[in-house]
Amino acid sequence: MPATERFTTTGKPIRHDSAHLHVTGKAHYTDDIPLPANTLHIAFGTSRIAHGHIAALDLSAVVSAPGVVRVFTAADVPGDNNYSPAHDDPIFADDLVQYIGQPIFAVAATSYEAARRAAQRAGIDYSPLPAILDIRSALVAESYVLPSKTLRRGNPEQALAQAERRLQGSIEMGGQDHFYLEGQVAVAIPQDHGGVLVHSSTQHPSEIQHMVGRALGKQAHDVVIQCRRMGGGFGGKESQPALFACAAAIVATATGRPAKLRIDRDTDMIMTGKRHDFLAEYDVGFDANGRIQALDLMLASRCGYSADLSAPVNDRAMFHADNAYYLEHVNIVSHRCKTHTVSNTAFRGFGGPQGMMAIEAVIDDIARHLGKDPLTVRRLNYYGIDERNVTPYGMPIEDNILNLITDQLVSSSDYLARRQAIAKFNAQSPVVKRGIALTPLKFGISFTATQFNQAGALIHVYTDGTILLNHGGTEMGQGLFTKVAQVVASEFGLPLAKVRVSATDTSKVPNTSATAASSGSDLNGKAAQAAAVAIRERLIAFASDYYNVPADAVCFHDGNVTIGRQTISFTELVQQAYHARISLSSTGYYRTPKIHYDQTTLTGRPFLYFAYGAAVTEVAIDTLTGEHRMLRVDVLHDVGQSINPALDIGQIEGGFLQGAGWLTCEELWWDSKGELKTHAPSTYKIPAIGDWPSDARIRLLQDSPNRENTIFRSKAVGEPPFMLAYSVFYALRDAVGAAAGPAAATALQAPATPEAVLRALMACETSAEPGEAAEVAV
Amino acid sequence: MATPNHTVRFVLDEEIVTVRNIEPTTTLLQYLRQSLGRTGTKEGCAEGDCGACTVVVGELDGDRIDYQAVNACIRFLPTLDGKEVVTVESLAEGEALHPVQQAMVDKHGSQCGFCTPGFVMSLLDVYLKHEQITAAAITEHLSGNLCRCTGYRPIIDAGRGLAAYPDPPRWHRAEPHNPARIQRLRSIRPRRGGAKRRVLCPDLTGCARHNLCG
Ligand code: FES
Ligand code: FES
Repeated sequence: MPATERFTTTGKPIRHDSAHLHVTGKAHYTDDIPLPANTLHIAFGTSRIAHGHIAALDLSAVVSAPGVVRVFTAADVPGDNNYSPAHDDPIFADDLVQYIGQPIFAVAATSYEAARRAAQRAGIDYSPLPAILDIRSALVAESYVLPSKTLRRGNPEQALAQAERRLQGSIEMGGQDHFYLEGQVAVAIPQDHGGVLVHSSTQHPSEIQHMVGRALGKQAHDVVIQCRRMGGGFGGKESQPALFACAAAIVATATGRPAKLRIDRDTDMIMTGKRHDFLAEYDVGFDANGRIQALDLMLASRCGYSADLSAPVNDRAMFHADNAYYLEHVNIVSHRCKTHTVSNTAFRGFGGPQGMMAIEAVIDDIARHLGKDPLTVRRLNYYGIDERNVTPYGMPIEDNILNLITDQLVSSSDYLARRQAIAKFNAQSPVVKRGIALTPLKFGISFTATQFNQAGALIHVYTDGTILLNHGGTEMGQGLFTKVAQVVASEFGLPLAKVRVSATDTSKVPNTSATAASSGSDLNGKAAQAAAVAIRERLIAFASDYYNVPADAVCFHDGNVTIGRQTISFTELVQQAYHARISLSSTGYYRTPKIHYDQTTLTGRPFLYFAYGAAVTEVAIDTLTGEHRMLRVDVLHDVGQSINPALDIGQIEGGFLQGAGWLTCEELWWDSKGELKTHAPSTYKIPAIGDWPSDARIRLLQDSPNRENTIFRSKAVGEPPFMLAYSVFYALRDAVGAAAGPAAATALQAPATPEAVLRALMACETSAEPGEAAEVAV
Repeated sequence: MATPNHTVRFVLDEEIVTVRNIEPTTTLLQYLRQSLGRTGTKEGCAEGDCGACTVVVGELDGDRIDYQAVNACIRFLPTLDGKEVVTVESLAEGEALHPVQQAMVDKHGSQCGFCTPGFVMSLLDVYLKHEQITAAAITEHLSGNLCRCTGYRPIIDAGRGLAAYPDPPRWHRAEPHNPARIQRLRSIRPRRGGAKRRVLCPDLTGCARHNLCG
């Protein structure tokens, strides 16, 4: 018999492990941790110009402000004045400032309000330098933060020259603020050995540990980072929290008092990196049906003033510039532009969404150029199964289910009939126009930096039969702790209540990777499973010996253990094992198999597998105001064999709406001096409750376990659903096209705010061909 | 404006809280989190646009209490003189969750949970006002609450499913008429005229209808 009756808890829609704490207000976030009365509160003083030298820094009024205990500048950093692995992010700017909002000093005071008030009193004189603020100016000036890269296959120049048809175009897509509801925050508590414990709201405790250690001039073992949960992360708490943790740790160790650094929403939006905005320009050759023969694609992103994670973000954009489509002859150039704005960073999808948007625009443009239904052109270009199945970076796709998903979705969404109904509606509706689009997604799972694809876990079984689980992953709302607990409970055949997950802690599981790249459950689930299996094997060996039965006669189920003919409780067996001096604690370790990747040639197998999905969205636009609304959304998404369908659906819905926000309503706007003017929810609009479509049909693809040996054959789900939102953008293009012709449709840029829709409509007013309908897909 | 030595009294969890010598610009959110250690109410923006800080405030209106959802981050504490404050910590009875909480759990309405206390309190506002809760009522009452994680669908479902739960022991729909609550509020009713005029009214009339008026 199997060692465990599996799937006792996996595969079920189990609630989030903190749901009761969330709804009662008992869940502690970093800002809620009770602190001693002598805790210091920190505020930053920041640059008011985008680029220049600090000519004079007068902090006397700050020092003498009420409640101020001490002020810190670059000179007060005991170790390395830097908070990023790329080593180009100073904690405090010393002389050179490179964006508005860059920290120059920190003030520690007896209250949050006193610190913030005091910080405003600094006298700073600048000698300004010319500032580069956007992608186009950076391209002209060849201002790059990292060297440009090229990914190439075949002979694109020749294939372009010989192509039956050829089209050039471009698409711009804006950035995006994470708008995690909980802003950046860190609390540092000095330890008696001179080290520090930092509670940090972070997706990457190990990196924070190292950055804090170096900033203090101490070692990794002097620093402990803890995070029980974040109030949202979305990539914004991967590298960014290091600044706040470092500053808090510097203050705490210098003063010997606990120090807390929490920034308010406006400061957070001004000071922290965002999704990279991108410009994509293309030259594409295709045949009369719309099948791509060659593509020359330029991707340029605004990285901001420093490298941060821009190298892997832009690499991923290049790796995803194929999305679901086979590109035989292709040249992809990626420019990583340096601008005097905040350093852009990880954000759900990590460059993938921008690369995929580029190819979706290419396909949509081709279809509109040919007067075909874009879905026909999309399907014509899909990767094949046995041929046309190798990515531009040389990875054969072994798990292609694009057509399976598309077929099911076309039929369940009634796409073809609705497209005809929409054409009819549009012919009779002069002001309101509707549009529809089906877009697919294929997203590579694994960190492109191979070394991050490893994880550790630590499990203790106590003699009362309860389990404490720790792993390197962090909880930001995605339900990782719940899923990993489900895995461990399943391995022991225990009810979930027997497993408690403790806060992520660098002193329990070392050298962890960021909880990012959607890899949280894949990596930590496997590591925790390994730890659980190790303990279970010991218990089996003990039981088989003690009860004199063969090992395969021991089975864990329902909180009990059946040993040969008798059944005892799990707790009883654990106590017997303890008395027999069997170790009841184990670490577990996992590294992702099969992956390899050559940084110089940009080829290999960077991903273990791909996650797939597709969405159909129908929208309506008001051609007089540009306002628009989603009328209906159908999603079919691939999560392999789901560990927890409720959590997976939650990720899909949330990802979809966040993607829709990026592409339709979230607009970051900087003035000509480089100052971000949309730095609060009053001016930066993320989707609200009224934006959720009243008709939404979100489904998981059934009977499609991961072909790779992942944890219970599930698939990663954090990032991929974000890209379902392309269907919203391309449906808007469809509606704009119905109102003002194909040229207007292709003029629409992202985010498709009402203003952008109006601009697209007006850009091509003369070419309006009302009632024009695209060819129907077959 | 309330002077620093002005006394502010409000009801919280059936007790009267008396606050003296408070900065008149102290917000309800600051007071709850920093002075009372009630950290269930969150700060998401501190400017009235995200709803993370939503609490419910009750005010005597003749022989009933008018309960309204309010953004604690932009509500100055002195304006609560004579009122009742209900926070996310006020709802559950021991381990038994209030229907608005239980529905959020059952429908998977929280992910990171940071917006959740605000949604719970806005849902309480809808719950106290409506017997039958329509999708339109939910969208209207929750339009000031932002959630970055869920996509809102499970929260809408939680609201729509509220009718299925039995009446809770506290914060049921009869609370606006609860004589004990009304009596308690009467006992701390500010003196006629006095307190009211000291607080700034946007119409500068000292009228009774603005929340800002005492
Ligand atoms: S904290 Fe955002 S509305 Fe109060
Ligand atoms: S659950 Fe995270 S913001 Fe709503």
